[in-house]
Amino acid sequence: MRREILKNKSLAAGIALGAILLTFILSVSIFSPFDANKQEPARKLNPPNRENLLGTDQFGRDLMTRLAIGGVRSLGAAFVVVGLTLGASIILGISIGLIGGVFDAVFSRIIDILLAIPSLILALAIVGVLGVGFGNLLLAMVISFLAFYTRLVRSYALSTRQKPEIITARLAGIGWTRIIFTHLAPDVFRQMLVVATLDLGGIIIGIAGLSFLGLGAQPPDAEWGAMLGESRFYFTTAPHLLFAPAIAILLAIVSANLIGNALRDSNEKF
Amino acid sequence: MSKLSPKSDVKIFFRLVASRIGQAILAIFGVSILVFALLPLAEGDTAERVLLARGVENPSAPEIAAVREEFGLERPIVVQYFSWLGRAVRGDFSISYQSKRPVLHEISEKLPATILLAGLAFSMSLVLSISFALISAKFYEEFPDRAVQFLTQISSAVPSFLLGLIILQFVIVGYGVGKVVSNVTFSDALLPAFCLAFARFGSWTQILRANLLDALNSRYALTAKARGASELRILWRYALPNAILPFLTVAGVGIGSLLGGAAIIETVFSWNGIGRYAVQSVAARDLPVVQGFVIFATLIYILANLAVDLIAMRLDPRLREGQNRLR
Repeated sequence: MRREILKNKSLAAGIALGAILLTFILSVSIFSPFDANKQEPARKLNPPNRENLLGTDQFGRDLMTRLAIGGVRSLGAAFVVVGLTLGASIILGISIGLIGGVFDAVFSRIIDILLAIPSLILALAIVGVLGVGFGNLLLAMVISFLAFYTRLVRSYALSTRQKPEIITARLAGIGWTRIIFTHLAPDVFRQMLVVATLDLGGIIIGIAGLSFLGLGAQPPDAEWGAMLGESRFYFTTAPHLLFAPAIAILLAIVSANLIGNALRDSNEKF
Repeated sequence: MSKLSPKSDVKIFFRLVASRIGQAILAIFGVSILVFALLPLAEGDTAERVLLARGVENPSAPEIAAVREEFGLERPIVVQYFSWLGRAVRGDFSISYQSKRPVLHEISEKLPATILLAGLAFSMSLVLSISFALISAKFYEEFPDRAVQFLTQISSAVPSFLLGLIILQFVIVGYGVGKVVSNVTFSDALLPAFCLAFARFGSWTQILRANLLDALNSRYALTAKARGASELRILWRYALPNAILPFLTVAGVGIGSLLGGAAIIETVFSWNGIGRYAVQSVAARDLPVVQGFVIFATLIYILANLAVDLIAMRLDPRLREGQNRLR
């Protein structure tokens, strides 16, 4: 009994944290008087003061605004990646699982090969081939997670196929389309959503990490990982450049992990 | 256990090992096809790229045609693949666009540094996660367990490059311990390896802890307790060996994550390994190097997993009797 309350507390904490973060990002992005990309050399490297609440960066841009816009980019990208991966893997996985036959054999082989490559290395290869840039980074991330998720969906589809309810429905003459949309898809989606939420932290880290390396968001665009990368040269003179995106990333990941853990634990009870 | 004669058991074991090795070889082939397919996918014409890399400013049509002839780019794609494979197997991975030196040389120069870093990080992760999991299991639900749980949360939440940056900032610049630009020595490797290990040991600890708790609740542990074994003995002698086995597979997959993470940490600490080299090559669109890197990194990953699986098979008799028995 005590454990249940504890789990609910962490879920509440995670949601609260995430909500605060998102509110901050969205409101500052919309209402800030500063331009995130406009350089103002006169004001560069100011520590937090009354005008620039978090200070300015090496080009004089307001740090708080960049943090917010960067948040839109980093977190928005993470959600886009999760959404695309979920969508594509569910469609692919269900098709592969239900159609079966040669289709299944071929695609399973391809998935196994993709899974043989560590995901970050696969992402590096894709960015290397397609070129550096935020869009390509997102595509690389989707592809590197796609294989694993599709495999999960496929096995889920295969096991659902054997379930008594489904067999009964088929015997009653109900078409596959209806079965998929009323039984299979919602179940799969619920399960995969838990997996995706658990991975959300890792995806945020991946996007920030690759941007940190300079392979994602390009200057002058604001993005948390890229901002961390740029802050490297100003360690001693302007530590706020390091701390602001660092704390933002940490809060985002902690929130995602808390929610993911709570979802997983509550799912296990069923 | 098995109704077959001992000789057949050995045969089954060898067949299993052979099939596992076969799987690994198939995987390597598959990856080679994928990597080979990367080149045509890239923007721009391959021949033009080569000419640009050679320093020719505005490649003209006859020059491009000559290069296409030279590289055999007019041949059917399957023929090109096998010729590429033939060269790759002999160690010829073409030449880096950046340095004009053979890719194999560049990679083999920098590989030992990465192996040192990754190996160190792996060992650290292993030691940390085993120790913490044992502590957690022994003091289940008490303060040490909670402390370890909290620590694993932090480990999962902190990106390795962030930890690296902070360590660089405070420890090195602040206290003068270690160097900003590292040489490839054991002592210089400790801090970067720790950053790599810290991000990973959290999930390992959680899995091992769960396995240990399962083992402690099992019948054999109960039997041992009934026969008077001390708690410590049960933990060390019965629970741990059984908990480690399923954990080995996780460790194998963790190696892949280590290899990827090494690329980032090497960049942060200016560590001269293939990870940093690969990142530079991706930025410079030096495709032969990227291809070579993917092949080598994946090769290491596949071989490491193979080794882990074979060790697991050696240690756990249940795995030897074929997939069906275990499930």
